[in-house]
Amino acid sequence: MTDTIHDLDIRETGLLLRQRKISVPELIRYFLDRANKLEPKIGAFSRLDNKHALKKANSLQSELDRGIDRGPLHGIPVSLKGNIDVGGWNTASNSHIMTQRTPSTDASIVSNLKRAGIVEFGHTTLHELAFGGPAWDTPDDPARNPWDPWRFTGGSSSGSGAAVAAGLTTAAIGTDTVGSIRLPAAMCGIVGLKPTFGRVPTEGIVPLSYSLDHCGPMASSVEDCFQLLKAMTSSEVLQSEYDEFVQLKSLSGIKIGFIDHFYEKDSEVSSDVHRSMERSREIWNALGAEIVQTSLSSLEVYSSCSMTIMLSEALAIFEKDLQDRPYDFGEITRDRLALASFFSSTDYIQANRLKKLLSREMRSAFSDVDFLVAPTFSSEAPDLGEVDKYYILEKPLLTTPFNVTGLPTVNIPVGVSKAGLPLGMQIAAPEGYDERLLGIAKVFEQHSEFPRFRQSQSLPKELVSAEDSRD
Amino acid sequence: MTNNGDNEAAKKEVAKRLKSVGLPAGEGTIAEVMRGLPLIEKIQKCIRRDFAYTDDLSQNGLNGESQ
Repeated sequence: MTDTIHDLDIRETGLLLRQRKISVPELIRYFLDRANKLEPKIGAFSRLDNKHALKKANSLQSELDRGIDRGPLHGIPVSLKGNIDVGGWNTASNSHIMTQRTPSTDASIVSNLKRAGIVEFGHTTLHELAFGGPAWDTPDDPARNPWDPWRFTGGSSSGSGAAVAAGLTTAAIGTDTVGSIRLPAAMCGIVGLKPTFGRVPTEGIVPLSYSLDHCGPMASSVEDCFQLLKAMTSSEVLQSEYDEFVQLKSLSGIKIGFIDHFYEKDSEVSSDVHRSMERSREIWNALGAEIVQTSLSSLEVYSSCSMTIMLSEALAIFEKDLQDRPYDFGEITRDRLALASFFSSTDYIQANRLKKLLSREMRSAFSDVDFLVAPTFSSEAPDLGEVDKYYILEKPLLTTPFNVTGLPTVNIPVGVSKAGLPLGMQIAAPEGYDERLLGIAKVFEQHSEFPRFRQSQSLPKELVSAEDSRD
Repeated sequence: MTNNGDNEAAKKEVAKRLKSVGLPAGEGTIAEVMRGLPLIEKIQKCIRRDFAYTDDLSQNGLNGESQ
Protein backbone atom coordinates (compact mmCIF):
# COMPACT_ATOMS: atom_id res chain seq x y z
CA MET A 1 0.00 0.00 0.00
CA THR A 2 2.74 2.47 0.88
CA ASP A 3 4.08 2.28 -2.68
CA THR A 4 0.97 3.86 -4.12
CA ILE A 5 -0.05 6.54 -1.65
CA HIS A 6 0.21 9.18 -4.36
CA ASP A 7 -2.59 7.40 -6.23
CA LEU A 8 -5.01 7.83 -3.35
CA ASP A 9 -7.52 10.66 -3.15
CA ILE A 10 -8.11 12.78 -0.06
CA ARG A 11 -10.77 10.48 1.40
CA GLU A 12 -8.67 7.35 0.90
CA THR A 13 -5.57 9.00 2.37
CA GLY A 14 -7.58 10.28 5.33
CA LEU A 15 -8.87 6.76 5.95
CA LEU A 16 -5.29 5.45 6.20
CA LEU A 17 -4.48 8.19 8.72
CA ARG A 18 -7.52 7.53 10.87
CA GLN A 19 -7.03 3.77 10.80
CA ARG A 20 -3.46 4.43 12.01
CA LYS A 21 -2.07 2.53 9.02
CA ILE A 22 0.18 5.48 8.40
CA SER A 23 1.00 8.59 10.44
CA VAL A 24 0.94 12.16 9.14
CA PRO A 25 4.78 12.42 9.32
CA GLU A 26 5.11 9.13 7.41
CA LEU A 27 2.69 10.42 4.79
CA ILE A 28 4.57 13.69 4.39
CA ARG A 29 7.95 11.95 4.32
CA TYR A 30 6.60 9.72 1.52
CA PHE A 31 5.62 12.74 -0.58
CA LEU A 32 8.85 14.60 0.24
CA ASP A 33 10.93 11.60 -0.84
CA ARG A 34 8.93 11.29 -4.05
CA ALA A 35 9.05 15.02 -4.74
CA ASN A 36 12.77 15.28 -4.06
CA LYS A 37 13.40 12.32 -6.36
CA LEU A 38 11.30 13.56 -9.28
CA GLU A 39 11.62 17.31 -8.84
CA PRO A 40 14.84 17.61 -10.89
CA LYS A 41 12.91 16.24 -13.88
CA ILE A 42 9.67 18.13 -13.35
CA GLY A 43 10.52 21.41 -11.64
CA ALA A 44 7.06 21.84 -10.17
CA PHE A 45 8.14 23.65 -7.00
CA SER A 46 9.79 26.97 -6.23
CA ARG A 47 9.89 26.01 -2.55
CA LEU A 48 9.94 22.62 -0.86
CA ASP A 49 10.66 22.97 2.84
CA ASN A 50 11.20 19.49 4.27
CA LYS A 51 11.80 20.76 7.79
CA HIS A 52 8.66 22.89 7.90
CA ALA A 53 6.47 20.19 6.37
CA LEU A 54 7.64 17.55 8.83
CA LYS A 55 7.24 19.89 11.80
CA LYS A 56 3.69 20.66 10.72
CA ALA A 57 3.03 16.95 10.16
CA ASN A 58 4.20 16.12 13.69
CA SER A 59 1.93 18.78 15.13
CA LEU A 60 -1.10 17.50 13.18
CA GLN A 61 -0.35 13.90 14.19
CA SER A 62 -0.20 15.00 17.80
CA GLU A 63 -3.68 16.47 17.40
CA LEU A 64 -5.02 13.22 15.95
CA ASP A 65 -3.44 11.31 18.84
CA ARG A 66 -5.32 13.60 21.24
CA GLY A 67 -8.60 13.02 19.40
CA ILE A 68 -8.59 16.37 17.61
CA ASP A 69 -9.70 15.81 14.01
CA ARG A 70 -10.03 18.89 11.81
CA GLY A 71 -11.88 17.01 9.08
CA PRO A 72 -11.15 15.53 5.64
CA LEU A 73 -8.05 17.66 4.98
CA HIS A 74 -6.35 16.89 8.30
CA GLY A 75 -2.75 15.97 7.48
CA ILE A 76 -3.19 16.14 3.70
CA PRO A 77 -0.29 17.69 1.71
CA VAL A 78 -1.60 20.60 -0.36
CA SER A 79 0.71 22.77 -2.47
CA LEU A 80 0.12 26.43 -3.17
CA LYS A 81 0.82 28.37 -6.35
CA GLY A 82 3.79 30.69 -5.86
CA ASN A 83 1.67 33.86 -6.07
CA ILE A 84 -0.28 32.94 -2.92
CA ASP A 85 1.03 34.50 0.29
CA VAL A 86 2.18 32.17 3.03
CA GLY A 87 3.42 34.08 6.07
CA GLY A 88 7.22 33.81 6.32
CA TRP A 89 7.63 32.27 2.84
CA ASN A 90 9.25 34.18 0.01
CA THR A 91 6.32 34.75 -2.38
CA ALA A 92 7.88 36.16 -5.53
CA SER A 93 5.29 35.04 -8.09
CA ASN A 94 8.25 33.81 -10.15
CA SER A 95 9.41 37.36 -10.88
CA HIS A 96 12.74 39.06 -10.23
CA ILE A 97 10.77 42.18 -9.33
CA MET A 98 9.48 40.39 -6.21
CA THR A 99 12.42 38.24 -5.14
CA GLN A 100 12.72 40.11 -1.82
CA ARG A 101 9.01 39.79 -1.04
CA THR A 102 8.29 37.75 2.10
CA PRO A 103 4.81 38.49 3.44
CA SER A 104 4.25 38.24 7.17
CA THR A 105 0.66 37.02 6.92
CA ASP A 106 -1.17 34.28 5.07
CA ALA A 107 -3.56 34.80 2.17
CA SER A 108 -7.17 34.27 3.29
CA ILE A 109 -7.38 30.91 1.56
CA VAL A 110 -4.16 29.75 3.24
CA SER A 111 -5.59 30.65 6.66
CA ASN A 112 -8.76 28.76 5.77
CA LEU A 113 -6.85 25.71 4.54
CA LYS A 114 -4.54 25.69 7.56
CA ARG A 115 -7.59 25.80 9.81
CA ALA A 116 -8.86 22.73 7.93
CA GLY A 117 -5.62 20.93 8.79
CA ILE A 118 -3.58 20.82 5.57
CA VAL A 119 0.17 20.48 5.52
CA GLU A 120 1.25 23.42 3.36
CA PHE A 121 3.61 21.32 1.29
CA GLY A 122 5.35 23.89 -0.90
CA HIS A 123 5.04 26.74 -3.34
CA THR A 124 4.56 25.64 -6.93
CA THR A 125 6.12 27.36 -9.92
CA LEU A 126 4.09 29.51 -12.27
CA HIS A 127 4.39 31.75 -15.28
CA GLU A 128 5.85 35.08 -14.14
CA LEU A 129 3.18 36.99 -12.20
CA ALA A 130 0.64 34.39 -13.43
CA PHE A 131 1.06 36.05 -16.81
CA GLY A 132 4.36 35.73 -18.68
CA GLY A 133 5.39 32.26 -19.72
CA PRO A 134 6.62 29.69 -20.45
CA ALA A 135 9.90 31.54 -19.89
CA TRP A 136 13.53 30.72 -19.16
CA ASP A 137 14.59 34.15 -17.92
CA THR A 138 12.51 34.14 -14.73
CA PRO A 139 13.65 32.83 -11.31
CA ASP A 140 12.17 29.38 -12.05
CA ASP A 141 12.15 27.58 -15.38
CA PRO A 142 8.79 26.25 -16.62
CA ALA A 143 7.42 23.18 -14.85
CA ARG A 144 7.57 20.14 -17.13
CA ASN A 145 4.50 18.19 -18.17
CA PRO A 146 4.71 14.72 -16.53
CA TRP A 147 3.10 13.15 -19.59
CA ASP A 148 5.94 14.38 -21.79
CA PRO A 149 8.48 16.88 -20.47
CA TRP A 150 8.90 18.40 -23.93
CA ARG A 151 5.25 19.34 -24.12
CA PHE A 152 3.72 22.52 -22.70
CA THR A 153 2.34 22.11 -19.17
CA GLY A 154 -0.20 24.86 -19.69
CA GLY A 155 -0.24 27.95 -17.59
CA SER A 156 -0.04 29.84 -15.57
CA SER A 157 -0.60 27.36 -12.69
CA SER A 158 1.88 25.03 -14.36
CA GLY A 159 3.67 23.81 -11.23
CA SER A 160 0.37 23.01 -9.51
CA GLY A 161 -0.81 21.01 -12.53
CA ALA A 162 2.47 19.13 -12.92
CA ALA A 163 2.80 18.40 -9.19
CA VAL A 164 -0.68 16.86 -8.96
CA ALA A 165 -0.35 14.91 -12.20
CA ALA A 166 3.02 13.48 -11.14
CA GLY A 167 1.73 12.57 -7.68
CA LEU A 168 4.13 14.87 -5.85
CA THR A 169 1.32 16.32 -3.72
CA THR A 170 -2.22 15.15 -3.07
CA ALA A 171 -3.70 18.41 -4.29
CA ALA A 172 -2.75 21.98 -5.18
CA ILE A 173 -4.20 25.44 -5.42
CA GLY A 174 -4.06 27.59 -8.55
CA THR A 175 -5.29 30.92 -9.84
CA ASP A 176 -7.18 31.58 -13.06
CA THR A 177 -7.51 34.93 -14.88
CA VAL A 178 -8.07 33.73 -18.45
CA GLY A 179 -7.74 29.96 -17.94
CA SER A 180 -4.73 29.40 -15.69
CA ILE A 181 -6.28 26.62 -13.61
CA ARG A 182 -8.18 24.86 -16.40
CA LEU A 183 -5.45 24.92 -19.06
CA PRO A 184 -2.76 23.12 -17.02
CA ALA A 185 -5.46 20.82 -15.64
CA ALA A 186 -6.43 19.88 -19.21
CA MET A 187 -2.86 19.44 -20.41
CA CYS A 188 -1.86 17.41 -17.34
CA GLY A 189 -5.00 15.26 -17.19
CA ILE A 190 -6.37 16.40 -13.83
CA VAL A 191 -9.42 18.21 -12.47
CA GLY A 192 -9.32 21.98 -11.95
CA LEU A 193 -12.11 24.21 -10.67
CA LYS A 194 -12.48 27.92 -11.33
CA PRO A 195 -15.18 28.80 -8.80
CA THR A 196 -17.76 31.57 -9.18
CA PHE A 197 -16.02 34.98 -9.22
CA GLY A 198 -15.62 36.14 -5.62
CA ARG A 199 -16.69 32.84 -4.06
CA VAL A 200 -13.11 32.07 -2.97
CA PRO A 201 -11.33 35.09 -1.49
CA THR A 202 -8.30 36.43 -3.36
CA GLU A 203 -6.92 38.60 -0.54
CA GLY A 204 -3.22 37.86 -0.14
CA ILE A 205 -2.76 36.67 -3.72
CA VAL A 206 -0.50 38.74 -6.01
CA PRO A 207 -3.05 40.37 -8.33
CA LEU A 208 -3.00 40.31 -12.10
CA SER A 209 -6.50 41.52 -12.99
CA TYR A 210 -8.92 42.59 -10.26
CA SER A 211 -11.94 41.95 -12.47
CA LEU A 212 -10.97 38.49 -13.69
CA ASP A 213 -8.75 36.84 -11.04
CA HIS A 214 -10.11 33.64 -9.50
CA CYS A 215 -8.54 31.12 -7.11
CA GLY A 216 -9.44 27.45 -7.03
CA PRO A 217 -8.43 23.84 -6.39
CA MET A 218 -6.57 21.39 -8.66
CA ALA A 219 -6.63 17.67 -7.87
CA SER A 220 -6.88 14.23 -9.37
CA SER A 221 -10.62 13.92 -8.77
CA VAL A 222 -13.77 16.02 -8.63
CA GLU A 223 -14.41 14.86 -5.06
CA ASP A 224 -11.02 16.25 -3.95
CA CYS A 225 -11.82 19.61 -5.55
CA PHE A 226 -15.10 19.70 -3.64
CA GLN A 227 -13.36 19.02 -0.32
CA LEU A 228 -10.85 21.78 -1.05
CA LEU A 229 -13.52 24.25 -2.13
CA LYS A 230 -15.34 23.67 1.16
CA ALA A 231 -12.19 24.54 3.08
CA MET A 232 -11.05 27.46 0.91
CA THR A 233 -14.15 29.56 0.88
CA SER A 234 -15.34 31.59 3.82
CA SER A 235 -18.97 31.19 2.71
CA GLU A 236 -21.06 28.10 3.23
CA VAL A 237 -20.67 25.28 0.72
CA LEU A 238 -23.80 23.17 0.51
CA GLN A 239 -23.02 19.47 0.78
CA SER A 240 -26.67 18.65 0.09
CA GLU A 241 -26.61 20.33 -3.34
CA TYR A 242 -23.48 18.38 -4.29
CA ASP A 243 -24.88 15.10 -2.97
CA GLU A 244 -28.18 15.64 -4.76
CA PHE A 245 -26.38 15.40 -8.11
CA VAL A 246 -23.80 12.79 -7.15
CA GLN A 247 -26.57 10.42 -6.09
CA LEU A 248 -28.56 10.74 -9.31
CA LYS A 249 -29.07 7.39 -10.99
CA SER A 250 -29.97 9.07 -14.27
CA LEU A 251 -29.54 12.55 -15.70
CA SER A 252 -33.00 12.42 -17.23
CA GLY A 253 -34.44 15.94 -17.20
CA ILE A 254 -30.98 17.59 -17.15
CA LYS A 255 -30.17 19.72 -20.19
CA ILE A 256 -26.56 20.03 -21.31
CA GLY A 257 -25.83 22.91 -23.69
CA PHE A 258 -22.96 22.22 -26.08
CA ILE A 259 -21.51 25.53 -27.31
CA ASP A 260 -20.73 23.92 -30.65
CA HIS A 261 -19.74 27.08 -32.51
CA PHE A 262 -16.89 27.77 -30.05
CA TYR A 263 -15.00 24.78 -31.44
CA GLU A 264 -16.65 24.12 -34.80
CA LYS A 265 -16.61 27.65 -36.19
CA ASP A 266 -14.95 30.21 -33.90
CA SER A 267 -11.62 28.45 -33.37
CA GLU A 268 -9.58 25.75 -35.01
CA VAL A 269 -9.46 22.65 -32.86
CA SER A 270 -7.70 19.38 -33.56
CA SER A 271 -9.47 16.24 -34.73
CA ASP A 272 -8.57 14.72 -31.33
CA VAL A 273 -10.60 17.44 -29.60
CA HIS A 274 -13.54 16.90 -31.96
CA ARG A 275 -13.45 13.19 -31.19
CA SER A 276 -13.29 13.82 -27.44
CA MET A 277 -16.34 16.07 -27.62
CA GLU A 278 -18.22 13.41 -29.59
CA ARG A 279 -17.30 10.88 -26.93
CA SER A 280 -18.46 13.31 -24.27
CA ARG A 281 -21.78 13.64 -26.10
CA GLU A 282 -22.16 9.86 -26.06
CA ILE A 283 -21.50 9.71 -22.32
CA TRP A 284 -24.03 12.46 -21.53
CA ASN A 285 -26.55 10.66 -23.75
CA ALA A 286 -25.91 7.34 -22.06
CA LEU A 287 -26.49 9.03 -18.71
CA GLY A 288 -29.92 10.17 -19.90
CA ALA A 289 -29.18 13.89 -20.24
CA GLU A 290 -30.77 15.90 -23.01
CA ILE A 291 -28.20 17.59 -25.24
CA VAL A 292 -29.04 20.90 -26.81
CA GLN A 293 -27.05 23.27 -28.97
CA THR A 294 -26.32 26.61 -27.32
CA SER A 295 -25.44 29.71 -29.30
CA LEU A 296 -23.62 32.69 -27.78
CA SER A 297 -21.53 35.60 -29.09
CA SER A 298 -18.42 34.44 -30.90
CA LEU A 299 -15.44 33.19 -28.94
CA GLU A 300 -13.40 36.04 -30.41
CA VAL A 301 -15.68 38.60 -28.75
CA TYR A 302 -15.38 36.91 -25.34
CA SER A 303 -11.63 36.50 -25.72
CA SER A 304 -11.05 40.08 -26.91
CA CYS A 305 -13.06 41.39 -23.98
CA SER A 306 -11.02 39.37 -21.48
CA MET A 307 -7.64 40.26 -23.03
CA THR A 308 -8.40 44.00 -23.04
CA ILE A 309 -9.38 43.92 -19.38
CA MET A 310 -6.57 41.63 -18.25
CA LEU A 311 -3.80 43.47 -20.11
CA SER A 312 -5.05 46.92 -19.06
CA GLU A 313 -5.40 45.96 -15.41
CA ALA A 314 -2.06 44.14 -15.37
CA LEU A 315 -0.34 47.23 -16.78
CA ALA A 316 -2.02 49.41 -14.15
CA ILE A 317 -0.67 47.10 -11.42
CA PHE A 318 2.90 46.76 -12.73
CA GLU A 319 3.36 50.07 -14.59
CA LYS A 320 5.61 51.65 -11.96
CA ASP A 321 7.93 48.63 -11.82
CA LEU A 322 7.97 48.44 -15.61
CA GLN A 323 9.13 52.04 -15.80
CA ASP A 324 11.62 51.81 -12.93
CA ARG A 325 13.28 48.47 -13.68
CA PRO A 326 11.96 46.99 -16.91
CA TYR A 327 14.72 44.43 -17.25
CA ASP A 328 13.82 42.77 -13.96
CA PHE A 329 10.77 41.42 -15.79
CA GLY A 330 11.15 38.44 -18.06
CA GLU A 331 10.99 39.24 -21.75
CA ILE A 332 7.52 37.75 -22.28
CA THR A 333 6.00 39.74 -19.41
CA ARG A 334 7.79 42.92 -20.43
CA ASP A 335 6.72 42.71 -24.07
CA ARG A 336 3.12 41.77 -23.26
CA LEU A 337 2.89 44.69 -20.82
CA ALA A 338 4.42 47.01 -23.41
CA LEU A 339 1.72 45.92 -25.85
CA ALA A 340 -0.91 46.61 -23.19
CA SER A 341 0.06 50.29 -23.29
CA PHE A 342 -1.55 50.50 -26.74
CA PHE A 343 -5.01 50.04 -25.26
CA SER A 344 -6.76 53.32 -24.52
CA SER A 345 -8.95 54.17 -21.55
CA THR A 346 -11.99 53.95 -23.81
CA ASP A 347 -10.93 50.44 -24.90
CA TYR A 348 -10.93 49.42 -21.25
CA ILE A 349 -14.32 51.00 -20.61
CA GLN A 350 -15.89 49.49 -23.73
CA ALA A 351 -14.53 46.08 -22.75
CA ASN A 352 -16.19 46.43 -19.36
CA ARG A 353 -19.49 47.40 -20.98
CA LEU A 354 -19.13 44.37 -23.21
CA LYS A 355 -18.42 42.24 -20.15
CA LYS A 356 -21.81 43.16 -18.71
CA LEU A 357 -23.60 42.34 -21.93
CA LEU A 358 -21.79 39.02 -22.36
CA SER A 359 -22.53 38.10 -18.74
CA ARG A 360 -26.19 38.79 -19.32
CA GLU A 361 -26.12 36.76 -22.54
CA MET A 362 -24.64 33.73 -20.81
CA ARG A 363 -27.02 34.03 -17.87
CA SER A 364 -29.91 34.02 -20.35
CA ALA A 365 -28.55 30.85 -21.93
CA PHE A 366 -29.11 29.13 -18.60
CA SER A 367 -32.85 29.66 -18.91
CA ASP A 368 -32.74 26.88 -21.53
CA VAL A 369 -30.04 24.59 -20.11
CA ASP A 370 -28.70 23.45 -16.75
CA PHE A 371 -25.00 23.28 -17.71
CA LEU A 372 -22.81 24.46 -20.58
CA VAL A 373 -20.04 22.38 -22.15
CA ALA A 374 -17.05 23.21 -24.38
CA PRO A 375 -13.50 21.91 -24.85
CA THR A 376 -10.87 23.44 -22.56
CA PHE A 377 -8.10 23.80 -25.13
CA SER A 378 -7.90 23.51 -28.89
CA SER A 379 -5.55 20.50 -28.92
CA GLU A 380 -3.37 18.25 -26.83
CA ALA A 381 -0.45 19.99 -25.07
CA PRO A 382 1.66 21.55 -27.86
CA ASP A 383 5.44 21.17 -28.07
CA LEU A 384 7.05 23.53 -25.57
CA GLY A 385 9.15 25.12 -28.33
CA GLU A 386 6.08 25.96 -30.38
CA VAL A 387 4.41 28.14 -27.76
CA ASP A 388 4.70 31.72 -29.02
CA LYS A 389 5.14 34.70 -26.70
CA TYR A 390 1.75 36.01 -27.85
CA TYR A 391 -0.16 32.72 -27.94
CA ILE A 392 -2.85 34.11 -25.63
CA LEU A 393 -3.56 36.84 -28.20
CA GLU A 394 -3.15 34.91 -31.43
CA LYS A 395 -6.08 32.55 -31.08
CA PRO A 396 -9.12 33.04 -28.85
CA LEU A 397 -8.81 30.90 -25.71
CA LEU A 398 -11.77 28.62 -25.02
CA THR A 399 -11.45 29.30 -21.30
CA THR A 400 -11.95 33.09 -21.43
CA PRO A 401 -15.78 33.24 -21.67
CA PHE A 402 -16.10 31.94 -18.13
CA ASN A 403 -13.67 34.50 -16.69
CA VAL A 404 -15.56 37.31 -18.41
CA THR A 405 -18.85 36.06 -16.97
CA GLY A 406 -17.42 34.85 -13.65
CA LEU A 407 -19.38 31.60 -13.83
CA PRO A 408 -18.11 28.47 -12.08
CA THR A 409 -16.34 26.15 -14.52
CA VAL A 410 -14.49 22.89 -14.06
CA ASN A 411 -12.03 21.09 -16.31
CA ILE A 412 -12.33 17.34 -16.30
CA PRO A 413 -10.26 14.89 -18.35
CA VAL A 414 -12.29 13.60 -21.28
CA GLY A 415 -9.88 11.36 -23.12
CA VAL A 416 -6.48 11.16 -24.71
CA SER A 417 -5.18 12.21 -28.12
CA LYS A 418 -3.74 9.82 -30.70
CA ALA A 419 -0.34 10.63 -29.22
CA GLY A 420 -1.61 9.53 -25.81
CA LEU A 421 -1.80 12.99 -24.25
CA PRO A 422 -4.74 14.16 -22.12
CA LEU A 423 -7.61 16.30 -23.37
CA GLY A 424 -9.94 18.34 -21.21
CA MET A 425 -13.56 19.44 -21.26
CA GLN A 426 -15.09 22.39 -19.44
CA ILE A 427 -18.47 22.25 -17.75
CA ALA A 428 -19.97 25.55 -16.56
CA ALA A 429 -22.92 26.27 -14.29
CA PRO A 430 -24.91 29.37 -13.33
CA GLU A 431 -23.38 31.82 -10.87
CA GLY A 432 -23.11 30.39 -7.34
CA TYR A 433 -23.95 26.84 -8.39
CA ASP A 434 -20.44 25.51 -7.76
CA GLU A 435 -21.75 22.57 -5.72
CA ARG A 436 -24.14 21.41 -8.44
CA LEU A 437 -21.38 21.87 -11.02
CA LEU A 438 -19.03 19.58 -9.12
CA GLY A 439 -21.89 17.13 -8.50
CA ILE A 440 -22.63 16.74 -12.21
CA ALA A 441 -18.88 16.66 -13.01
CA LYS A 442 -18.49 13.76 -10.61
CA VAL A 443 -21.32 11.87 -12.29
CA PHE A 444 -19.60 12.37 -15.66
CA GLU A 445 -16.19 11.45 -14.21
CA GLN A 446 -17.54 8.15 -12.91
CA HIS A 447 -18.73 7.21 -16.38
CA SER A 448 -15.72 8.33 -18.41
CA GLU A 449 -12.90 5.90 -19.07
CA PHE A 450 -10.02 8.35 -18.81
CA PRO A 451 -7.02 6.49 -17.44
CA ARG A 452 -5.80 8.22 -14.31
CA PHE A 453 -2.16 8.89 -14.92
CA ARG A 454 -1.38 8.77 -11.24
CA GLN A 455 -2.40 5.14 -11.19
CA SER A 456 0.60 4.42 -13.38
CA GLN A 457 3.61 3.28 -11.42
CA SER A 458 6.19 4.00 -14.10
CA LEU A 459 6.54 7.78 -13.92
CA PRO A 460 10.27 8.01 -13.24
CA LYS A 461 11.07 5.56 -16.05
CA GLU A 462 8.74 7.34 -18.46
CA LEU A 463 10.22 10.69 -17.65
CA VAL A 464 13.74 9.45 -18.15
CA SER A 465 12.95 7.69 -21.43
CA ALA A 466 11.02 10.70 -22.73
CA GLU A 467 13.97 12.96 -22.02
CA ASP A 468 16.49 10.52 -23.48
CA SER A 469 14.56 10.21 -26.71
CA ARG A 470 14.76 13.97 -27.33
CA ASP A 471 18.44 14.37 -26.52
CA MET B 1 6.96 56.24 -49.21
CA THR B 2 8.71 52.90 -49.67
CA ASN B 3 7.93 49.84 -47.56
CA ASN B 4 11.17 50.45 -45.73
CA GLY B 5 10.11 54.02 -45.16
CA ASP B 6 6.73 52.86 -43.81
CA ASN B 7 8.47 50.44 -41.54
CA GLU B 8 10.81 53.09 -40.17
CA ALA B 9 7.92 55.46 -39.58
CA ALA B 10 5.98 52.74 -37.76
CA LYS B 11 9.03 51.94 -35.63
CA LYS B 12 9.38 55.59 -34.65
CA GLU B 13 5.70 55.74 -33.75
CA VAL B 14 6.01 52.68 -31.54
CA ALA B 15 9.17 54.04 -29.88
CA LYS B 16 7.45 57.36 -29.25
CA ARG B 17 4.43 55.66 -27.74
CA LEU B 18 6.52 53.45 -25.46
CA LYS B 19 8.63 56.40 -24.28
CA SER B 20 5.54 58.51 -23.63
CA VAL B 21 4.38 56.02 -21.02
CA GLY B 22 7.89 55.60 -19.61
CA LEU B 23 8.51 52.16 -21.05
CA PRO B 24 11.80 50.93 -22.49
CA ALA B 25 12.09 51.48 -26.23
CA GLY B 26 15.06 49.33 -27.14
CA GLU B 27 15.38 47.81 -30.62
CA GLY B 28 14.34 44.36 -29.43
CA THR B 29 11.27 45.61 -27.60
CA ILE B 30 10.19 47.75 -30.57
CA ALA B 31 10.50 44.81 -32.94
CA GLU B 32 8.50 42.53 -30.63
CA VAL B 33 5.83 45.16 -29.98
CA MET B 34 5.48 45.69 -33.72
CA ARG B 35 5.01 41.95 -34.15
CA GLY B 36 2.27 41.95 -31.52
CA LEU B 37 0.56 45.17 -32.51
CA PRO B 38 -1.66 43.64 -35.24
CA LEU B 39 -3.03 41.28 -32.58
CA ILE B 40 -3.93 44.22 -30.32
CA GLU B 41 -5.50 46.07 -33.25
CA LYS B 42 -7.63 43.01 -34.04
CA ILE B 43 -8.83 42.93 -30.43
CA GLN B 44 -9.59 46.66 -30.46
CA LYS B 45 -11.63 46.26 -33.64
CA CYS B 46 -13.61 43.52 -31.95
CA ILE B 47 -14.46 45.47 -28.78
CA ARG B 48 -14.98 48.89 -30.36
CA ARG B 49 -18.51 48.09 -31.37
CA ASP B 50 -21.48 50.33 -31.83
CA PHE B 51 -22.88 50.76 -28.35
CA ALA B 52 -26.04 52.47 -29.50
CA TYR B 53 -27.93 54.31 -26.80
CA THR B 54 -31.39 53.02 -26.04
CA ASP B 55 -33.98 54.00 -23.47
CA ASP B 56 -32.90 50.98 -21.45
CA LEU B 57 -29.31 51.84 -20.54
CA SER B 58 -28.66 48.35 -19.24
CA GLN B 59 -28.97 47.15 -22.85
CA ASN B 60 -25.67 48.76 -23.76
CA GLY B 61 -23.71 47.91 -20.68
CA LEU B 62 -24.03 51.31 -19.01
CA ASN B 63 -25.68 50.14 -15.83
CA GLY B 64 -27.25 47.07 -14.32
CA GLU B 65 -25.60 44.17 -12.61
CA SER B 66 -22.00 44.29 -11.46
CA GLN B 67 -21.05 41.22 -13.46
